[in-house]
Amino acid sequence: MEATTKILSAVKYRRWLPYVAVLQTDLRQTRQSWVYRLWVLAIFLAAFGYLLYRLGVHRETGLIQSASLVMSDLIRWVVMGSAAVIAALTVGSISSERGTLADSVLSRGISRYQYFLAKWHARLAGVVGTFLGMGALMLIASHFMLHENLSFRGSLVCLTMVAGLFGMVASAGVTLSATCSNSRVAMTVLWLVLYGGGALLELLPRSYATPDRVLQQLPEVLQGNYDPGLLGNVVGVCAIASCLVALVGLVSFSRRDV
Amino acid sequence: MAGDAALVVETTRLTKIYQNRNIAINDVSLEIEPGHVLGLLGPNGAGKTTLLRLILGLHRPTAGTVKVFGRRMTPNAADLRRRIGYIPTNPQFPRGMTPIAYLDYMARLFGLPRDVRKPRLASLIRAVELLSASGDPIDRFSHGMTARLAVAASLINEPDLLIWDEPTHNLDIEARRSMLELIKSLAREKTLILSSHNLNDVDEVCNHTAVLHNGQLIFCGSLSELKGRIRKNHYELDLDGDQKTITRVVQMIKQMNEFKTVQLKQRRLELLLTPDASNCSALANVFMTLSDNKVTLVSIRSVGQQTEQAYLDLVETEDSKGFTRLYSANEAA
Repeated sequence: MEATTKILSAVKYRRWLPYVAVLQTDLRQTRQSWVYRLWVLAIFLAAFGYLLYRLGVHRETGLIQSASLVMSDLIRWVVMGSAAVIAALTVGSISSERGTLADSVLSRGISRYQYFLAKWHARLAGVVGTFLGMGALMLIASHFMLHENLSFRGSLVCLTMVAGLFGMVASAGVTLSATCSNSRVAMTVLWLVLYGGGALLELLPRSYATPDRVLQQLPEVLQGNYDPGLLGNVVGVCAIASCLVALVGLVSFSRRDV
Repeated sequence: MAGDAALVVETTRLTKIYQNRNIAINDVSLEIEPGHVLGLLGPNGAGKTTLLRLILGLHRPTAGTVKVFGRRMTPNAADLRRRIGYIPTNPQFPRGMTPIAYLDYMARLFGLPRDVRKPRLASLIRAVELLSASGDPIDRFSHGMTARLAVAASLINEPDLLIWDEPTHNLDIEARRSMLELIKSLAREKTLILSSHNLNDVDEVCNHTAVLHNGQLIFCGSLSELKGRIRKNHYELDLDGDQKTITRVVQMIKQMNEFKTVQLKQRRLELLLTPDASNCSALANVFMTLSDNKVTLVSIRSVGQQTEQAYLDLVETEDSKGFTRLYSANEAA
C-alpha cells in the first residue's frame, strides 16, 4: 500500500485536465450531432438561397437590394429559427448523458463544478462560434451579392449583439439540462420561457431594449448607426443573465444526486 | 488501528431518503480499514448500490457523513475520487468510443498527464486482453469484454480503494474465475469493497463482510465472525455397514426428540436439529447409537455453504425482530 501511495504521489496531476477532457469531448459530440448539422445546413441553405434570390431580383428588375435591409431580415429569421434549435441542442447536454454520467464520468477525478463549466463552455462555444462563423460568411457573401451599405464596425456590433442573445439561450438550456432529469421537460420549459418571455417583454415601456426591439434596429446598426450605450446594455445584460442562469445550474447540479 | 485517520472509509449514521418517499439507507455506521476486502451483501433493494454511490459522492447523504481517507466525501471532492477505482453493476460507455479513446478519456478525467496515461492505458489494454479489439467501437463488445474494459478503467488511476459493484455479474464461468483471481491479487495491496449477490465469490475473496437488509446494516465484521454466527443445526453423515442395520439405526435416531428431520438417502443420513437442541449432545447420542450397532461413520459435515447459511440466518433473525429492532437500535446508538 505504501509503495502504491509513493508512486501515486510522484504523479503530478493536471487539475484542469478533466475540464479540458469534457470540453473537448462535448465539442466533438456537438459537431457530430444531427441537430447541430441540421442547424448549420438550414442556416447555410436559407441564407444563400435568400441572397441568391435577392441577387436574381436585382439582375431581373434592376431594383437596388440594400445589404443592411436584406441582412437584417435574414439575421432576424435566423435568430427566430435558431432559438428553437439552440434550445434543442443545449437541453440535452447533461440530461441526455444520465446513463453514463455517474458511472463513467462523475465517479472519476472530476468535480461537479468542472463538469458543469466544461459543458456550459462547450455548448456556449459551439453555439456562439457557429453563429459568428456563419454570420461572418453571410456578411461577406452579401458584400459580393448585394448593394453594399454595411459598415465593418456595424457588422461586428450586430454579430456581437445576436451572439449575446444566443449565449443567453444556450446558458439557459445547459442550466435546465443540469436541473431537469428529462430532456423533453427541459426543452418544453425552455421554449415556453423563450417565446412566452419574449412576448411578455414586449409589454415593457419602449425605452427598454427587448430582444425584438434590438432586432428591429439591425438595419441601422449594420450601417454603423448604433448607440454604444445600447450595445453595452444589450451585451452586458446578456452576459450577466447568462452567468446568473449558469450559476443557478452550477449550484443545483453540484447538489443533486446523479 | 492507529486512529480514525487510518480508516479508508468511515460512514457515520449515514441515511439516505429519496424524495421523502424511499428510505434507501438507514443509520449506517461502517468502518473500513486499509487492506480490508469487504464483501457487501444484501438482497435486491437492500441499499448496497446506494451505499457505494454515497461513498463515491455521487449521491448526497440525507443525514450522516461519509469520510474517505479521513476526509469528508462530497460531490466536488475530485481529489478523493482520484484515489478510487469504481465499477458499476452494468457499466455504460459513451457511444462510438474505442477502448483506447475511452481509457484515455477516463485517464484525463483523473487528471493524468499524457506521459503517464498513455503507457498505462496501453499496459491495461494488454493486461485485460483487449489488444485485438482496441480499435473496435465499444458498442459491439460482449458482456465479458465490457467487464474487462470496466476493470481497466477502474485501475487506470492506480487507486488505493476499489469499489466494485457486482463485478462477476453476467460473466461466464471462465471470466468469473479470472475476475476472482484478479481480485485476490489486487487484495494484496489495495482496499476493496465488493458488492455481490454471489456468496461463493464473497467467501472466496473477502476477509470482511457487511450485510445490509432494508437499508440497515445488520452485520459488519470479519468473515470468520459471520460464519461463527451460523446456527449449526443441519448435518450430513456418510455411513458404512449393513444396509438393514443402518435402516434400523435410523429408526432409532428418529425416536430422539432433538431432531426435526431424519432422512436416509442410500447411505447418507441427513439430520436437521430442532432450534432448541444442543448439537453436541444430539450428535453424541447419534454417535453412541451408531457405535452400539457397529455402523461405521465415514464422514460428517455441516450442510450448505457456511457463509450462505450464516447470511440467511442473519436476515431471518432480522426479519423476526419486528418492532423490537427499534429498541435494540436505540440501545446500540
